[in-house]
Amino acid sequence: MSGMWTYFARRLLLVPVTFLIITFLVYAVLRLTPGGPIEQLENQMKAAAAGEAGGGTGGLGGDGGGLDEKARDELKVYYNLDQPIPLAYLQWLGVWPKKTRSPVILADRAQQPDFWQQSQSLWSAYRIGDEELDRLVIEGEFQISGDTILREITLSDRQQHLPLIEEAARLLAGGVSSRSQLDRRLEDQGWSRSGTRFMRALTDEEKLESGLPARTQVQMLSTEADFDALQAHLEMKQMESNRNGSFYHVDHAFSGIIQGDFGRSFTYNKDALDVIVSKFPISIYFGLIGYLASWLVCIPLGISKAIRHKGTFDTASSVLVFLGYATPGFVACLLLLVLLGGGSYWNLVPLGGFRSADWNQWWSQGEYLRCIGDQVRHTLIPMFGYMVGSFASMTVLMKNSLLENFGADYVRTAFAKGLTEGRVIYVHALRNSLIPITAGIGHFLGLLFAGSFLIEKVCNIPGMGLLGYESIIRRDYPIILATLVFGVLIRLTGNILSDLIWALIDPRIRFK
Amino acid sequence: MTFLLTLMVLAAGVLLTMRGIPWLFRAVSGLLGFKFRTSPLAQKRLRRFRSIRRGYISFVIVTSMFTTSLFLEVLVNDRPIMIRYDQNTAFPAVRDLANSWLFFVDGPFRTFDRSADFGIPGEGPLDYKAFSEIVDDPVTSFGPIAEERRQEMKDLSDEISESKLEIDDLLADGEEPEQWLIEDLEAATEDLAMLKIQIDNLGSIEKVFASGDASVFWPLYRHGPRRNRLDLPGTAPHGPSLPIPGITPRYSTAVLVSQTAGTRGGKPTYEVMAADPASLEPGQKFFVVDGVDDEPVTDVLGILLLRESMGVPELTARIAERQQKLDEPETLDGGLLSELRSKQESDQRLLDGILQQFGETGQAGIAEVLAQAEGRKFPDQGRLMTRFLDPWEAPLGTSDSGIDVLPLLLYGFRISVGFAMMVMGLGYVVGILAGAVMGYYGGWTDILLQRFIEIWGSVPFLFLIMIIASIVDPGFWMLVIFLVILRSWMAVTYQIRGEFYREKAKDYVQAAIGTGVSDFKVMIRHILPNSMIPVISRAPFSFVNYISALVSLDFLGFGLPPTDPSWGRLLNQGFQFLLIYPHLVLLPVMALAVTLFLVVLIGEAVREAFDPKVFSRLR
Repeated sequence: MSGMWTYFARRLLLVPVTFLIITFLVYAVLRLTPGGPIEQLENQMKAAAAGEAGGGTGGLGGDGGGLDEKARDELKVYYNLDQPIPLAYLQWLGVWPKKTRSPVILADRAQQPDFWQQSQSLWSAYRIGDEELDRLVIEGEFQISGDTILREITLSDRQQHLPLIEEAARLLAGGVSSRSQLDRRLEDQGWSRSGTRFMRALTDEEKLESGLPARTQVQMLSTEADFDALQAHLEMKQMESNRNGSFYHVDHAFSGIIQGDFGRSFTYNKDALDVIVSKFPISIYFGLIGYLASWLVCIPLGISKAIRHKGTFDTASSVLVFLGYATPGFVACLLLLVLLGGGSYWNLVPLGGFRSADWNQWWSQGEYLRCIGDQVRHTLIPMFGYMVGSFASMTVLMKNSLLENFGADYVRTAFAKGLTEGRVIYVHALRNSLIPITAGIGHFLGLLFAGSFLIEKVCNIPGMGLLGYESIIRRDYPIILATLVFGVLIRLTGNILSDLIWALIDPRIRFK
Repeated sequence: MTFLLTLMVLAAGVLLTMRGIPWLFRAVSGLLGFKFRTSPLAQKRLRRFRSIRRGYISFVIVTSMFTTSLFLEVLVNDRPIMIRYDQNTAFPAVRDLANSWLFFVDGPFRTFDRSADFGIPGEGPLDYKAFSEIVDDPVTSFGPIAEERRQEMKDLSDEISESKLEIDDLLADGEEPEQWLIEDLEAATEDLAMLKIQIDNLGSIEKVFASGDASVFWPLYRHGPRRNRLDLPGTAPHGPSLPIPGITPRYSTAVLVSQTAGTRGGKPTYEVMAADPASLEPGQKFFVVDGVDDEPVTDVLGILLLRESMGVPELTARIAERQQKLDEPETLDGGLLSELRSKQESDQRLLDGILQQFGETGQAGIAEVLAQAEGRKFPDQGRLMTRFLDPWEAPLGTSDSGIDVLPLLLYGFRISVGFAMMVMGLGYVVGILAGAVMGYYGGWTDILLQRFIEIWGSVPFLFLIMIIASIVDPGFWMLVIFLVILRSWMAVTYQIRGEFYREKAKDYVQAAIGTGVSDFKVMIRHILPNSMIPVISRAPFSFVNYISALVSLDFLGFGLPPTDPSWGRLLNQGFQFLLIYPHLVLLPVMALAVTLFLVVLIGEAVREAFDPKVFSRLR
């Protein structure tokens, strides 16, 4: 017996390791693949900008539509994308402190008037400097990229690099692919492109002479210094400011999934955990009913197939079993929806959903029968889909294990004792044959979660599967990760649970 | 004819699969120096497999279908197998076939023929359908083309003479003609010369076509899985044109009687009649077609929209009511009276016609003209149909982008089965290697790999593929590799590991090791052949799983690229049109279920033949 307990202890120990590896894998894949929330936002903005009679861009705003660098940084901080992947992962787990920011409210300011007066004056100093900088930038047609100032190439530059300019003009006239080639060529030269203008960083001479470039450079440095001073001042009280003038309390705290913080869903704008919890019961309802239904069908069918092994009934029902194996559950749902959904054939069931929209109203009006009928009609097709999924394997499992038991010695003994056939089959043999099926409960927990993507999509059930599917399409990271966490945990514990149940109810089984 | 050819192709497929491929296999391995010995045990198993009829027949069907489907490009394609024009010959479909067989070199043969090389003026790719039409009927197809060119030439020469006149006028007035005028004149003269050459050529081209020096040889079915068929009437998806009970929508026919006195929206209305009320429902659109009754029709004169309809009783009642008014002519003034009389007459004629043609159940209706071909009149007693296809025009309908469903299903079969075979084959290679290493060496290798598999097996693979596929569009091979890496190798590994453990303990293996045979050789030569049984007997079942996996991924939109024909995407389209176009769900479901059912039957037979379980009977 002790061998078994070490076996399960080892399995349990492996759970956290597996969990960490899988979540890290998915976390890394999510972060490494392009198309995150910021890109999605930018695409939306670009689409919107394209809609507005997109005239000539190429001004100071960069290449039309997108976010400027400052805004992108802000968003990165907001979505915690500014951290390196391993660190961000640890923060998401909740074993590394995460910087959280909460806005400063007016009441806070009233408590420390002196401090806030100082901050305010520092802020205005920065603001005035920043406006001055903006004015200079516009005047000199510069661009600011990070901490360098870019200006359009001058006449002397053109003369020095005539071949490059000619090539660039040629490439500029070409399509999109030649543009990227052009960008590479410019980059070799240390230049960059803004619309159709070629930019380069200010040279050291330009920074020193007393013209517009130098003044801009000086202004930029002093503005940065002002901003740093403001931040340093705020840091004393554990606060910070962004460049738009919002002040935040900064807190370093452990706040990850271990603490129950799954983040905020981008699409629902709610706590991810709340979203998931609200979908849970619906999935469980359909999964459980489907599972029970397949028990009710498969066990009797398996028994009668075993009793009439190789008989006509066995052969005929085998066709059904094979068909069940050959049809994926969601395909069966689709087929039934076409046949019964009120299209070209019969109109018996609704086209999916959990229940009708007026259900609650009916319930409060006391039309309970109508409510029950409605619920049943919504349940039928998904139930059938889940049933088809496990129908074939469960029936065959039941039949085979019963047949195996028929050959066992104890059955022969029972017959020899003179027991009736019914008693031998249904009391002695059946009890032992049910063991493998009972043990499947744990696996079922995992299946309920993973296999439901398709059925929930086809039947439009607002459960976990549909949530996971939609979150992937919308790249809603917190929800994707939260469904992953629950899915993996349930599956891992479910598998162990299955083996444990098996070991407990079947003394012949030895794990080691 | 086509039917017979199809049967012959299928028979050839069976023959090729059952005789040709084993022979080829033996010949190649003989050339390479392998000798094939089947052990008596294996022979016994094969015999047993063959004796299970349903499994063996399914095996023959599925494998023959697959081998036949390898030649699909020359059987079902929208390009002809061969086209010939004068000295030029091309084999477009064969080229396609070669391209898809040499998939690893990415399209080595160019995919189009220049139009000008095959007698149709112009620089673009040749339109095979137009070419084929000309080959079929050179005289009538050339008439309009030549006429058009001649008209063009006439217009152009008129224009030139006008310009010349203008220039002469200007010169006469002593003014300098503008530069563009002269340039235009020059260009027009050039064009005229070109047109002359074209028309001269047209004669010789026509001669080539008419003398039978051009020919075209089509595959069995002339539509492929990539070219859409939006030239069909109506909007995609089209319902099947083959009358399949339950799937083909109800097509009704009616008879056009005559134009009525009234109009609707400035266009004339027509009286129509049909056999029963169901075929004349208001809102129904009819094609007015020309032609004799039993021929397949493709000539459309126009479209009618049915506005109202009434049965014989209603019509009789209307006539009787009007008759009452007519019986008291003094209450009506002259104009109204004559109008009523003419209406009564036409109604009576309509009623007589209906009773004569369809009897008491007949139905009459008024339809307005939606469209009419230019310069064509609607004939009295013309035919009205809701479709005007011959039943084999688009036998299984089209998908939502107008792609023919029949080739989609056939090519989808090939891609699904090929996919499952690839995933299974690669998975077996990886799985057997890993399992062999684990079982043979045991110890830490075994433990580490076991832990790895335990962890790897818990990765939610559908989830991961969906995440990755939502960013990069995976192709066929990428999907295969995903599925192999994430899933297919693991189950095999465990079985092989167990078998290797068991076999390694046996004397013959120990003897082989003792005589100094290398580890690798022991594994491959001695243990592996004895441990393949459980792996082989579960192969068909995993096959089913991989096909389902591909269909699921395609259904969710994370599978093959949209240009590839696939069952899953067809299902998804059916899901979009769930209530309107049941054929988009029912047909792929049927294809899927039948294929997988056959594979399951094979699996059952293989399991029974290779791994028989003898259960004691109860009695």
